[in-house]
Amino acid sequence: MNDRVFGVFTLLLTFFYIFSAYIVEESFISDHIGPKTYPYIVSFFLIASSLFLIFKPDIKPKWPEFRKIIEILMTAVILIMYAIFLPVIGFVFSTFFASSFISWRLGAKLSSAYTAGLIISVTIFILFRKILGLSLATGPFGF
Amino acid sequence: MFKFISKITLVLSLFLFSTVTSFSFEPNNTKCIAPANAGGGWDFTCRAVGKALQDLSIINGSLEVTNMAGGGGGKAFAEVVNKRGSDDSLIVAASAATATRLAQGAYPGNSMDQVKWVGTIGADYGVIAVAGDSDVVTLGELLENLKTKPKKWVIGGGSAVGGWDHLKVLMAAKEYGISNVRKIKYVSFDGGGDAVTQLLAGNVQIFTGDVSEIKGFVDAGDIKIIAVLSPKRLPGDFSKFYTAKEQGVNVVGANWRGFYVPKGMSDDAYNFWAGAIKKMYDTPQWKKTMAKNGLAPLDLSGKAFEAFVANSVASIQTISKQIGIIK
Amino acid sequence: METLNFLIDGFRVALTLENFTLALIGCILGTIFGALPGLGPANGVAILIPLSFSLGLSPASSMILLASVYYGAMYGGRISSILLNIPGDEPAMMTCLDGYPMTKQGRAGEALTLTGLASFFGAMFATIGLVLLAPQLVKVALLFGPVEYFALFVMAFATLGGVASKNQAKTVLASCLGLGIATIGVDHQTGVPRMSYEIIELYDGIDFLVVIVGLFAVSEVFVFIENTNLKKLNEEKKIIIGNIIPKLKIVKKIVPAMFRGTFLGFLSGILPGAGASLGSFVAYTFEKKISNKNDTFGKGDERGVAAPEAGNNAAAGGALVPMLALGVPGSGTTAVLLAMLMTLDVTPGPLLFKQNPDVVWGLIAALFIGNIVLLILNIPLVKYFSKILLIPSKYLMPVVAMISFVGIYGISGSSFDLIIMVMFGLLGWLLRKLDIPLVPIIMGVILGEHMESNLRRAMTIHDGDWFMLISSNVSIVIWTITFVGFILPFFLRKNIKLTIKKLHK
Repeated sequence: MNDRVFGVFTLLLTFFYIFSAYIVEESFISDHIGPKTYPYIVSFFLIASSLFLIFKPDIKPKWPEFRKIIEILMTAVILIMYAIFLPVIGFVFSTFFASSFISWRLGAKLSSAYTAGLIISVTIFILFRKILGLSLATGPFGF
Repeated sequence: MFKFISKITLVLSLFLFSTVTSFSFEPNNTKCIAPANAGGGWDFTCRAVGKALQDLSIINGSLEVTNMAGGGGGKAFAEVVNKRGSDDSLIVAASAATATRLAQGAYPGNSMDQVKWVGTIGADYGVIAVAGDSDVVTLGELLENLKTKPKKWVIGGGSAVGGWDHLKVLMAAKEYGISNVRKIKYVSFDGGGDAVTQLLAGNVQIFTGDVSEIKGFVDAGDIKIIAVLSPKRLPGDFSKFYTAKEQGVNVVGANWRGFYVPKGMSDDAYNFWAGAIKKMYDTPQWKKTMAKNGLAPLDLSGKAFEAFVANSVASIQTISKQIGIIK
Repeated sequence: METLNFLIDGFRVALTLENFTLALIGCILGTIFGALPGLGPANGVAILIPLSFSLGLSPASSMILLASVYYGAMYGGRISSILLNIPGDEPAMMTCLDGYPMTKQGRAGEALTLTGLASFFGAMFATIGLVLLAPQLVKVALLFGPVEYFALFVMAFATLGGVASKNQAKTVLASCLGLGIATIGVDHQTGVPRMSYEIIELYDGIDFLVVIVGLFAVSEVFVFIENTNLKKLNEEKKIIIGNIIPKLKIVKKIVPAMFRGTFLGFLSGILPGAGASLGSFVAYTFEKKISNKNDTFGKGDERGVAAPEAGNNAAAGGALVPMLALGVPGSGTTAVLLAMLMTLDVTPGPLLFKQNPDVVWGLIAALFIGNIVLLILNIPLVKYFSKILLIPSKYLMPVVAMISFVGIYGISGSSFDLIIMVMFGLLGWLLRKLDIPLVPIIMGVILGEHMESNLRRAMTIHDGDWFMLISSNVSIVIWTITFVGFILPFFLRKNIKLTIKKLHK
């Protein structure tokens, strides 16, 4: 049954995709088949397989309880916030918060989660920034 | 008493302030943005120059390289214009591709006068070549073939349709007098190496690209250079090849490499950077780096470079309009 | 004979103390990079490029360091595939399929040893192949034009049918999702923006690393959170490595699988654009086709880990052939290595073997030495490497997540990429729930652009005549293999099943 829902979703997505391909503004000069043909070919197979899912769905998967789904979404939000705040408050602080949060949600006690977060953020910073010279985000304090 | 102290403080702070401002720009914590992923040409520009500047002690400490990929350089351009408009210690790697995209409006809402242009560190000149066993010898013959049999003569290059490699041939074709350049078939490959392989395989008949891309193949005799798109003959091994100009087709295609800086950079800092690049360019060490990496001489800095970029943006715009890539 | 002399000279270069130390460091780092999910050979090599720059290493030394990392990552990728069911890097995807079931049966040690052997076998033969083939390659590469490449990529997707999922429609759907994602961004042929909705970050398209790390590493964090039961925390399960010395009988059993895997892997490695993932993929599929008589594959069959590991290591070696001989990278990692060579003043191409023999032969010798070092690191010492993964998940997963972020951010410096990565993490979690395979998505994203570009190149060259796609001998052979070997059996199998059913009635 869930396959049906997903099939309908991919079908709608495909229509959006076809529309997006349709509105591509071609320049005067182009290769022979242009930038639209290939997305149309892919769309054909997308529609076919979506329809297949709608008409011949597999059995329903086992979903986790509602509370878990909320938790997963929360984690996703935290990780997105992490991505946004990384260049703003710097690598060490943001990594500290994000990794502590994940550690906590995976069952560590708050205190050990904070310790883990601290160790992870500082170690990664030293290893990748100081030793390997990778460019990580630098916040107002330079780390 | 209190008044006296505050007066002293005022005088002192004024004095301090004036000494601070009279100091010229100190190149500390210098940064270079490479507007692409690690490993590409812009990344090379930042890193090679950073190493040279540090070795020559022109800057204090190292030049910190940040990769900021996105939009073919457009993301970094927007970032510099919008967020780091007055950063004195920042330079950004650029090349002919930057100018091409600016000219064709591929950085939405941005134009070349939103930044200052500092200087070049060399250029990679364009070449037009055919397979080693081809009958074509001169540029005239080649362009005549394109004119009369455009279906049979397919061009391959590393840039997209309408990109720099494509434009170079079209400019030559236009100069030769081919009016409908849109009939010319161009196939875009993933870089010059790929295009050369397809030339050797016979899937395309003409190659357009840069000197550094085909150095190895020419030495091996696999491909034949028909014309070099430089103003003068190139130095070294390439001096035996005729320029397009010598063959009566007045086209120059220089894929320059250089830097721009934020518009709001102080004049001191701008002069420092322009001077630093120039100083570095003049050292024998840099000449060696250039030779190693297939860069030919192109020495422009400060106002001269600004004018050069403006000029090339304008000419790319003209040809792009004529061809119909932009409206 | 000449080759042998060159090779001896190469060993002289590679066996200097400095270069040998670099090879050793490279092998260890590579194994770790490979083992840690999210960090793969491409990241590892990309991260080390600035390092070898700042250390001022010579071209030969840099290449030795980076190639050791490259080979090391190919070995390391299997460790987390087997122990955690998370591919350490993208070519190790196929090793999960039978490796993780072996771990569940308490045979992780055996699986690691067997894959170590298979990796060594594959890499060794591929390196020998590299020595023999690279100088000859110019001619072979010339057989492949846009028409042939397009046929090749279609075949790559046709081979997906059997492996990825029980439901073929889901495999097709997943492949097309990947192919669709690959079309986002400025069109490589014409330079017009496509599917990017005026969002400047989308102009360059979605980097396949972002998709891979999102789908595999980040989604894993969500899976772990879903499965964490706070009440039962004390019963955290330890991974049991078990006996690391397999029975001779089993080693004998996997030898043919290693041979087949090596051969297929090497072939797919040589083809530019295909790379190690295709190598392990084809090796596994093929092995399953011919050896899965008692339906043991996917349930911990030793041949199911040996074939793809031999395949991906052989492909890694194979991918160096077009990179060195033609300057055409065979995979993402070799593309990074290629860029490195260029910046080091070495022009890859037909003349490389003449102009920079020290670099090429030093590199090849280093690969031989690195391989032996890696065998030693990866069989007796594998326990220590797997310790990295034995950290409890509440501490390991934040590290995995954060290093995934670091790897992506370090390359592109883009918050936007990270956000997209998290989205793919969520999508990956959802798709796993729905039993939609992730591998075809990745394949689609990686191969999509090449597939489209070659189709369009072919059409431009042949003025839009679609029948020209089956014009050359090579393309006809590939299309025939695709239909007879992969698409036809799909329909036949149904018929056979129906026939059997009828007979039973």
